[in-house]
Order: sequence, then C-alpha cells, then structure tokens
Amino acid sequence: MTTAVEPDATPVSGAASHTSSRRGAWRRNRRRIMLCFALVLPVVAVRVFTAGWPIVKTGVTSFQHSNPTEGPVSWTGLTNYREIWDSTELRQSLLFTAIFAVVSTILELVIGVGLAVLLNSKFRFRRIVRAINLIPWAIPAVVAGIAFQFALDPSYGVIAGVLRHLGFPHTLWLSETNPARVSIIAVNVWRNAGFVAVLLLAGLQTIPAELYEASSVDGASKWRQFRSITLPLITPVMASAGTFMLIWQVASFDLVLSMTGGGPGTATEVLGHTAYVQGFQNFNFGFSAAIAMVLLVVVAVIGVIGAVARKRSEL
Amino acid sequence: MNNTDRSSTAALSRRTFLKVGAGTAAVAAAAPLLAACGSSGSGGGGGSSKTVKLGVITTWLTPPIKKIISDFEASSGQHVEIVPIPGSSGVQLIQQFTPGFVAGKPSVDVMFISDEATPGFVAAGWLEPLDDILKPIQSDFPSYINAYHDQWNVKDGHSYRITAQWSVCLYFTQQQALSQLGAKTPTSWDDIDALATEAKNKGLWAFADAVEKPALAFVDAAWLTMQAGGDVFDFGDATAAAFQFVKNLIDKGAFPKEAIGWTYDQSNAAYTQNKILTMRQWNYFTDVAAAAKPWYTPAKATVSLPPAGPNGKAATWGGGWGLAVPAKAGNVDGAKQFVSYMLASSRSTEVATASANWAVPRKSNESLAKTNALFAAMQKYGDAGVMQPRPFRTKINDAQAVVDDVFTGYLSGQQSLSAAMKDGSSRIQALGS
Repeated sequence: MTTAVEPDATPVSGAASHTSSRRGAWRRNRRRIMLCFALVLPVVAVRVFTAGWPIVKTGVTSFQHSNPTEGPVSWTGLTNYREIWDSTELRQSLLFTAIFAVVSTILELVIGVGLAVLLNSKFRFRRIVRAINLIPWAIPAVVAGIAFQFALDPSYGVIAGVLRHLGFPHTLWLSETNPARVSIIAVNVWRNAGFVAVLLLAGLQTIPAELYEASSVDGASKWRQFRSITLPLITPVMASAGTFMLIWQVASFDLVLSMTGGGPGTATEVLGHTAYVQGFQNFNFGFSAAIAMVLLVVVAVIGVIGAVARKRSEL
Repeated sequence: MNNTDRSSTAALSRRTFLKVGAGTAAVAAAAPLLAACGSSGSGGGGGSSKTVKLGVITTWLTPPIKKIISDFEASSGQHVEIVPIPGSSGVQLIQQFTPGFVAGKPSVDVMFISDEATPGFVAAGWLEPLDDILKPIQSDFPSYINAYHDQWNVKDGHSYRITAQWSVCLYFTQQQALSQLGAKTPTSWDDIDALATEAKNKGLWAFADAVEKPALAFVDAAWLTMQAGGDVFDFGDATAAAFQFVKNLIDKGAFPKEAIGWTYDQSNAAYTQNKILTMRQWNYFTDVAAAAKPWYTPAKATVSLPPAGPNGKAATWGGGWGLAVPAKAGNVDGAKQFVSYMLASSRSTEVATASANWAVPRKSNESLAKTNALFAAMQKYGDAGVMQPRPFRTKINDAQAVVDDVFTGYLSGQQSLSAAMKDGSSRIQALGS
C-alpha cells in the first residue's frame, strides 16, 4: 500500500506545490495587478465615457424619433434607416461621399509620393520647404473653404482668373454641378497632400541607402529604382496613410460646409454634412444618428479592408 | 525579490490603490458638483434674483443701446448681464441655446430669438407667454408686422415673442446706370426681362441676388414667389414661375449664374463694382452702400418698390428677431420688466435710433422716416402695401432646406422644372404641417 501510495504521493504533492506556488505568485502579484488596473481604470473610464457611450447612445437614438422641439422621444424601429434608403438625396449624398473620399485619397497618395520623393532629396533650404509643405494642412478647413470661395469667383477670383489666362474655358467653379464637385475635391487634395507627403517621407527615410547604391552599380535608372525599391518598400506606409485618409475623408464635411453648403442642389452633399444639417440645424437627432451609424459602418469596413491591405503589403 | 522589495511593493500597492480609488471617486463626485455650482449661478435660480441675463448678438449693443440698458438698470434695480450670441444666423442661435432648454436650465433670462428658432421653441413649450407686455403696445406696430407676429409668434392665442428687430427684402436700383441706358426703374418682371439684352451688351446684369445654400436661395425664391402671388413652400404655379423667371434671366445672361454660389458679401461687392443694375438685398445694405466710398451716391443704391410678378402684384417680405423669455428662466419677472422697458412705445424712437439692429417701424417712431433713409424706405413699402409676412412652416429649417436644394438644383441644371416642383412638393409634404 505504502509503495502504491508513495509513487502517487510525489506527483500529487508536486501538483499541489505547483498550484500553491501559482497561488502564491498570484497572491504576491495580486496587489501589483490591482494597482495596474487601478492606474489604467481612469483612462479606460474616460475613453468609455467619451467614445464608447456616445457610440452606444447614437446607436440607440438612431432607432428613435428624437427632436427636442417636437415633444418626447419615441421608438420608431428601423424607420430612420428606411428613410435613408428611400431618400434620393441621401443616396446621391452617399455616392458623392464615396467619390469625394476615394478620388481625394488616390490623388493625395499620388501627389504625396511625388512630394515625399522631392522632400527626401538633398537641396538647400530643405527644412524650410518641408515646413512650407505643411502650411495648407495647418490652415483650418473652414478658413480655406471661405478663401477658396472668393478665389474661385469667376468675376474677380484669383484662381479663376489665372485659369482663364491659362486657357481654361470660362467656368463657374462653385455654381455648376461638376465644376463644384471638382473644386471641392481639388481644395481637399491641396489641403491634405502635403500631410500625406510627410507621412510617406517618414517611410522613405527608413529605406537603406545601400539598396539604391547597389542598384546604381547594377545600372538601374532612377525610374527603375523608384519602381523596384521605393514603391514596394513604402507600400505599407501608403496602405496605412491611405486607410487613414479614406476614413478621415468619408466622415469630413468642413470644406463642403464652408465652400458650397452641399450645393448647387445636392451636387456636393456628403454624408457628414447631411448628418450635421439634420442634427444641428433641423434637430432631427434620430435621423441624424442613423446617418452617423451608417457612416460608422462604412468607416469600420474601410478600416478592416485597410488593415488587411496593410498586412498583405508587409508580407 | 528580496524582503525589502516585497514589503515596499505591498505597502505601495495598498496605499496607492486606496489613493487612486479615492482620487477617482473624488473627481467623479466633483464634476457634477462643479457643474451644479455653475448652473446655480445663472440667474440665481429664483424669481427674487436681481440679475437679468440677456442673450444678444454683441454687435447689436451699440453705446446708445448700452446707455438705455443702464437707464433700465437704474430705474428697475435689476442688473443686466450680457450672454453673447456668437453668430448672426438663426441656426447658430438654435445650436447655442437648445441644450440648455432641453435640460430645463436656460442660460439666459431674456433673449433675442430669430424666426428660424421661434416655431420650434414655441412648439416645445420653452417660452413664456408675453401677452401682458404686448397688449399695450400691439396697436403701435404697423398692420403688416402684426400679421407677421400672428403667424410666427402666436400659438393657442398666446404671444411668445415680440418683434424687436425688423428686416425687409428691399429692391435696390442703380438709377444712374439705368438712366444712362435710357431705361426706367423696373416695376415688373417684364421690365427686368426687357432690360436683359441691353444690360448684357454693356456687361451688366439686369438683376441679381445671392442664392447660395443654405438659406440665401430660399430668401430669393420666397421673394419672387410672393410677387407671383404664391407661397414658395407650396411648389405650385407661383413657385414654378419664380424659378423659371430666374432661369430665363440666367440663360439670357441677365442674372449671374455664379450667384448660385454667392454669399451676400459677393453680391454686395458686385453691386458696388457697378456690375448689377438691380438687386434684392436686406435693409442692412443701405449702410453697406453708404460706407462704400467713393463709389456711393444715393442714386446708386436707391430703394425702389419691388417688381410685380406675372399676376401684377408687387410684393416683398419681412421678418426679424424678437425678444422672448424662456419659461424656465431664473428671473422671469426681471426679464419681463426688461422687455417691457425696451419695447415701450414711449421709447421706440430712442431705441430705433440707438442701433439699426433694434430698428422696428412703429407708429410712435413714424417721424424717423423724415430723417432716416431706412425708415423712409420701410415707410414707403408700408404705404404702398407691398409688405407681406415671411412664409411660415412649423419645421421652418427643414422646409427652407428643401427650397435651397430644389431651387439651386434647378438653376444649375440638375433637374427640369417639372421634376423640381414634384421633388419639392413631395419633400415638403413629407415634413407635415
């Protein structure tokens, strides 16, 4: 018996000692772990309060008829979402939001890469030029929008005048459907391309100079170096920057607000602006919340696609 | 880990945990406390308070108006505290004050309130009836302002706002340029149309108005629809005639198509650069024009009667801001005293001359028409019987946005006239009353 018990006794005793040592470790570390939680808790609480709760509240409001000037809040189920689906204006708005965000992002990346390559090359006053490159981004969008509203005036606007002198036909940049759309996108790209360039510049600076030296020895041209070294190595940064800009621009509306108010008609209406007008001008909080939730889903989908694209580009 | 380390860690974690927990609880408790302290300061929270918080656009507080307010303070024993309204649009006002109203804690005791804000605020029951204050002065207002008042400020027989600022759509004409063209002042749409070719040949626009989104497009469309004998929100024949009139002028080069994206600054600039022969603009343009030296002469910015539309009826509309008292204001009595004092008939001339933004034509200040160009213009319009109240809808901001969308969409060629009318009509119907 003794012998039968003894062999078992050792493992049991070993397991018990392992468990007790884990318990001891937990006991020893419990206070430390609790301290960690306590230190993190305020940040988590603030984040839940400032981001989590508003999202939940917006989601709940999207299923309600909520207009403070029209009596108590009432549950309406999917009515607000159905209205979005049925509204021709909102479908147009969704379409232009997609065009605005996608075209802007593509142009910003293309121009951004060009600017980044230029800013990465060695020349006098490089630091000053890098700083100047960021000025458009530093100008508040509303200020830029108002300034461009005047600059694009066909009668006395400086940009409209220059374009006319360059041979462009007389165009009403903010009063006709397609020119207004082009103007909004162009001003948006002007604002953001410099910022994208700085993000990409950081990526360019991580590329080892030896790669270029080695390819030069092999007789590669500048274009070949760009195509075979620069572009593949900054693709992950481009994917991140592109995702970031796409998300940013899907939800942005400040330029539209200050340049065209969504007009003429609904030509330059974007979802963010529609949500703003419905929420803070017409006080249809429920409908505005539903638009915001649609935007949230769109942004989330873009975020996931962007994350996948970034991962693939790193492989 | 040695003993010293372990003991110090244990002691630190216990104390720190307690401190962090207590600190977090204290911050959480302090936030509402601080907020409560802040809100209790507004108006003192009771009828016995001696502070009247006045919500007003600060540029409207000229030194003479401040002097009148000081006189009120001296005579009533109340202290008037200014709560600035940052913008000058009705929408900004709604954005600023609605959260306080929703929470039942308005940040003012008395406020200037715009047309855009009034229907919603009245419907929500946020305003105090001012019948007692209005009753003794109502007959002092011209009939067209009383008609406007009945539509905009009254619900269930009670008045919730009293007009304290009045704006009128005026028709400005360049008399000098017109006589150089050998043309008379247009009195009808046909006259404007007849000017089109000759004006275009001289590089001028026969008629212009800023019609960008938001709100400006609505103002112009409502003005013209009234001349066609209708209400712009009906999207009926009169609205169609108004839309088509502007489109025809654009097609003839007699109305600037770029005005679809113009602000008032841009239309004013074009007018003072002698590019526009006639223009609809608010009464504030009388000051803008007079300040545009050396361009200005009275003949360059003459206020003419508005043109008549296809039904032969000259018409224009007015609207404005009024004083209102929130129902849950901290000092309702003091606020009512203030409204009563500022709008008394005996003081209307003094107040109207103290600031153009407090200028309301009243019988008690009729004499101002002899010396003041703005009052002369408003009297001219009143005497001619062209004044009509601003088109009304309970959901006024939604309804105006529909007109903005449809009018600018039609003018820029996105929709045919029939599609525009159908679209506008269905969207207005969807809004309800």
